[in-house]
Amino acid sequence: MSHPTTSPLIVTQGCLFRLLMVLVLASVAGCAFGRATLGDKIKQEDLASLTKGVTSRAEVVARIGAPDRILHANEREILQYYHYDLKSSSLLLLLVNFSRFNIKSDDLYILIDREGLVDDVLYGRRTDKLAFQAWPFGE
Amino acid sequence: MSFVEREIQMPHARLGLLLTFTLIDGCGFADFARLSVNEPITIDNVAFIRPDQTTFAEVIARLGTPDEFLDSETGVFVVYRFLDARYSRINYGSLASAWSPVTPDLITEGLGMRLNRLTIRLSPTWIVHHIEFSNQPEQPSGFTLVPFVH
Repeated sequence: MSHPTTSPLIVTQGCLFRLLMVLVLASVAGCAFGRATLGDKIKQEDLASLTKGVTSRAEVVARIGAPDRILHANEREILQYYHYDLKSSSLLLLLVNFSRFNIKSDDLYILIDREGLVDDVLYGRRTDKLAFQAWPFGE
Repeated sequence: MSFVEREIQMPHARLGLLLTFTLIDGCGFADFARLSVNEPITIDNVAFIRPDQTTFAEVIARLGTPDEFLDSETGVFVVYRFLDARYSRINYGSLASAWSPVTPDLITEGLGMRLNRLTIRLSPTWIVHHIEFSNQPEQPSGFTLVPFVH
């Protein structure tokens, strides 16, 4: 029974690949991950408790807490709550370091009408798409 | 030298050179860092907006909630902010540590910040009146390696 022979070039490429992997592992001096947040996370059950035309301003504040910012627009009072999230990653090689910091926010706006009742609730969640990325190039 | 021998030796030479430069110093020759705040909004993202027709609810459904509300006598302004900052630093002097007992610093740095803002003016009935970007949203940004040229 004959066995297929492997060419010297393929054997050499296999050795080179292993050497390259050793090189990559040897050159990775370390990596770092970081996380920072600002503001309380907005809970889904708090959002579900808000009913337009029923929930009062006092009930909103009792449930969610004091707003981070109070605005006035179109004859309505707007209570703003925000939550910022930061994820950082660093790939520390012996010769080159790569780092990336990504920040996104969740914003909740509660519009209060003249009667002091919830007129509308605007909520946008961006932090669920926040990712750890070390590679700073590209998109 | 045969073709196979040349193919075998040349990658080793390249790898050896790469290994030398990689292990030449432990304090880093170059740094590349990037800071992103929110997803960038492009002109394509706001192409659906028709002045005096599109409602604020439709804007929120497509772009999410804004970062800020601003009130004025002519209506409400909502603002979406996004930032893309890129920093690079190269210390050419670190290469000298391979043969020199003293490591001199010869550093070039570059920082490019693209802070952009999409402002949407709403009528008192929450209809989009007009939109504007503070900068060209499609303008590419990159790392600045050489600070002496524009």
